[in-house]
Amino acid sequence: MSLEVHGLSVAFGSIVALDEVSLSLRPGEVTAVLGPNAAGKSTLLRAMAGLQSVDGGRVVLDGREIDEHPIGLRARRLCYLPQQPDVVGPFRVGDVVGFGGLAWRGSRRGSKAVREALAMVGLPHDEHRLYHELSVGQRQRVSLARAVLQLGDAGWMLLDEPLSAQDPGEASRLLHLLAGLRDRGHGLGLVVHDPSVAWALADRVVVLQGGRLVEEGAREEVLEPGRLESIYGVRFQMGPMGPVPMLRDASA
Amino acid sequence: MEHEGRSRSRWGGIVVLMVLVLLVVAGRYLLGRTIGDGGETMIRFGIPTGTVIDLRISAILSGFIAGSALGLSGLAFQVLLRNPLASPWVLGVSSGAGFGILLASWLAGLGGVWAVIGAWALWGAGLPAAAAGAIAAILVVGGVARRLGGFDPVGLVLCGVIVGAVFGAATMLVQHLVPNGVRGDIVAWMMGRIPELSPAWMLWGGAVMVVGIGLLGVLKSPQLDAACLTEDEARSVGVPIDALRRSLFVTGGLLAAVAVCMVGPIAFVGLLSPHAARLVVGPRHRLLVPASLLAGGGVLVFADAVRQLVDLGGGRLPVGVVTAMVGGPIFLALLLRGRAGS
Repeated sequence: MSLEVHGLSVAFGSIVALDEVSLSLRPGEVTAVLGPNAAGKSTLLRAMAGLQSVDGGRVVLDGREIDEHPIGLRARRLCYLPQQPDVVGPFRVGDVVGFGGLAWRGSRRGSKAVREALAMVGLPHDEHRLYHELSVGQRQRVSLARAVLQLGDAGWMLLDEPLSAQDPGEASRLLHLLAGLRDRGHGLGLVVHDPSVAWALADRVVVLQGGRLVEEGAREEVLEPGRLESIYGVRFQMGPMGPVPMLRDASA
Repeated sequence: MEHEGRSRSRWGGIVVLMVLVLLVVAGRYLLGRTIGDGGETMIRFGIPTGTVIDLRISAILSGFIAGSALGLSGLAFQVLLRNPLASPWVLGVSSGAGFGILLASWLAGLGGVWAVIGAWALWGAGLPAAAAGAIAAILVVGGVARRLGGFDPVGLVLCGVIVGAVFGAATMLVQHLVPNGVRGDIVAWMMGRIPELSPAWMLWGGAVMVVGIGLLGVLKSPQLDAACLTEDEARSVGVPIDALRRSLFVTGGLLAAVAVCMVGPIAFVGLLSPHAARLVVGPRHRLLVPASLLAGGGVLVFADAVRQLVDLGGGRLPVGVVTAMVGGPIFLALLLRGRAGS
């Protein structure tokens, strides 16, 4: 089980979003992708999921170029979870989780499998609720339940800013869930804005800046306050929960 | 248990729809107009006799098949555009089909080789002309959308609105060019009409097409369900979204062309029928596809029955007027409800 990118380049007109980025994810590990705004983080994640056409380089899933995998087989190995999941129509939560069984030709779409996946993400009684009634955090958990159904025992989950717009309680529940999925053998790649989130969850951290990969390593190496200052242009201090930006008190 | 209960109630929804459709069909079969002793037209409710039986059955079949085609077409465009307010009109397909028929009618009156081309295009109630117009709209909208980067819903709608406007203007140009007598026929056709005598091949062909596409929709229902996710999520769970969108685009366009050919350009049936069906059976396409087929057919036959009852001095109301006058306010209500819901 492997997911690698080699020399990946993506441009939108004259704007270079990714410039020869190479990276590999590892099973049973969380890799956090950090960087300032417009650094190319989301583009990298979408390209790794086979959702973004690239101008150069390759994405290799389990030894084969990602586009060479039939779409159904690819879906059994890798899933992408956007920042704002949504569905058009009055679907129930159970329906949306059940979509994860599409690639398995229905064999995982049964009610029992859906209920088990929902129980795993802490929504055991919400199968029949309308999806549109859920908060963004609950929708993220529904997406995770669908991903569990979709990937089975182990696979790759690529999550774009899963903790943004979450209150601290929901963020904590999601962190716990993601750690549990890693422990079950899934390989996770996630875009995060907050270095303290990467500190709480990631095994490895990569940093993008201007479309180039500028840092890669264990979290203790990369999330060092001096390095973070050079990336974000603001001072950090190391607290008990990881690096924290020293924001000026603007209330005065 | 709760899930089983909900599933049963949705199957029950299909049964309710079938019963409603049967009642509407029975009502239309019994309802008609007759000429009184003084030469005046009167509403008549009763079992028809003689040749009237064939006329009623033909009108019911035409209305039901065309309405079903519009219902399925609307559903296809709503999935394609990820927009529950989409309809065959949004992509200019109905306008294209209507323009095709009017252009052929105009050519047929010119004489010489143009008349031969026009007559050929009007063969079979104008099927070649309507299909050519619809296909032209599909090719233009699809071609431009492709150059914009694929079958993106926003790009498709933008192109569709422009193409629809151009075909609308071209239709007015044809109206301007034809003699006054023909202009009246064109206006009458544009208001929609349910023919009381359609060729058997057209009814059979339309029925086979609608039922075949309906069955295909049921078979593909898991993909149609998952295509309601965001585009990236749909791809990620294994929906071949580009191929699915192409199929929906072509299928929805052809269904709209067949409907225009049979009953003229009738608005709102394609928009409202999938909505009505969704209210009864929910959003899952395994039931939504047959429910949209039934609802579309039922709505158009019902509109045909209503127009038999209303005469404001100019004869029976055109069926397109009935669907637009009822459908317009319902559309606005849906829009307001959607805004309130969001």
